[in-house]
Amino acid sequence: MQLSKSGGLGRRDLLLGLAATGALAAFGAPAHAQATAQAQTLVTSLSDQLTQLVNSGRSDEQILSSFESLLGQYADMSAIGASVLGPPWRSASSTQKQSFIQAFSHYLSRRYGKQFRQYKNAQIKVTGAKDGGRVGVLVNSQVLRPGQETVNVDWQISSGSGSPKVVNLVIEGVSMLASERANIGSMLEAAGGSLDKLIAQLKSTT
Amino acid sequence: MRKLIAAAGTALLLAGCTTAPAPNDLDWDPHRSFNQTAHKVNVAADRVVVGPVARAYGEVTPPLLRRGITNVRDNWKLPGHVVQSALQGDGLQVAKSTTRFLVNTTFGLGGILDPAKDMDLPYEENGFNETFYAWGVPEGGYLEIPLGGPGTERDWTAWGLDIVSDPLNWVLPQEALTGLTVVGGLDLVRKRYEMDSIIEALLHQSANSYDATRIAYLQRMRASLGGGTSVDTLEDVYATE
Repeated sequence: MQLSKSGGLGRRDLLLGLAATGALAAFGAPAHAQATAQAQTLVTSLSDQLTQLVNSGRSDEQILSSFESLLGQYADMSAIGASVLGPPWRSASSTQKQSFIQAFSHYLSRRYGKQFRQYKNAQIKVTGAKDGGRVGVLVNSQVLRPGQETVNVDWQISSGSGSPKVVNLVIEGVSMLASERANIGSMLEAAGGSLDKLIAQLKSTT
Repeated sequence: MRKLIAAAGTALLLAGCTTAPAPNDLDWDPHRSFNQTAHKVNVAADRVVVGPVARAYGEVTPPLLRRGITNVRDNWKLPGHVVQSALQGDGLQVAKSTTRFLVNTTFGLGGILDPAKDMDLPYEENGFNETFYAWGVPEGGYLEIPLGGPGTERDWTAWGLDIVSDPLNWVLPQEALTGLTVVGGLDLVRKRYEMDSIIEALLHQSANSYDATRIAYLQRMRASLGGGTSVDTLEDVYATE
């Protein structure tokens, strides 16, 4: 895990550079360059908000609930929830779907919010982006923690819902979608396959 | 003794290597029942010993000391890295690792400091696993070793070969080699400490700790060897709707 060569540059220089690189790479396909730039802007704005939040000095519970609203704002929780739940999603009623997404957002913000809470005084630096076409854009970032190992976090941004939204988080190469699919699958199995029991359990995540 | 175990393990693993899964597969798990038993041992060891020791270590040591220890351990892995880069046919990396080793061993006071990083020669992980990957050797089945942790057949084979083939074995006195083993151990404890919240969530707060660890390990190893997350591994979340 090494620091990027552009470590000394400001975020604006970096973004300009990246936008230029992106534009060159996608010469002849301006829509792609635009998607890449949009995705980077989204991640930059989200990381600014996250950094502000963890350093706001507010209580842990306040931070976690603000983290949940940021997720709702920046991520497509319905698409993430449906993809993580898999086949049971298709047979669920619309009421179940709605309460699953609510409970899942609560669960996810607790599980991942606890990680972000550790990143006090850390700096999130956007280091690059790659257009994956149909699957969306992968924006790379590094969480620089003073005196501790740097953590690589990649954000998958897709416009499948009509506007660019976060649809997956890849921490040190580990996809949140894949991990949570295994996790939620095991929880559903432990709940005897009952979606309502799973929803109740997700809601009670602390 | 350590070398003997590693050599025996390597021979055993090479003989027993299973066939390859699809490159991004996360389901294939030929040693599942053995692994699950090993995982129980590892989770218990982490809860009772490794986790508490790592947190205690992290609290009493200043970051600068931990950094220094990591630097020493990283520095003395470089002679082995040079051999690996040669096996990979990467002449540029041979030169980079050699320069890095010379700079940090002299100006970096035996490797405690890392002036080479500022010369754009950062540390990069290397070993037989990277070489096997470069040669196209398949990763083999996931294999969790009791008190050893997660790996694959290829990883563990590489781990054994890295130990027996380390050029330092023929150059340094036994005391220095033992010292480097201790430094390596401390570096693992540091890593456990600095990644504490991620490891706690994975090992102790997952609905299925075994699969959570296995899936995380495989993805992380593949991303690390492939030079980052590849867009090819991403899924289209809107495909099923």
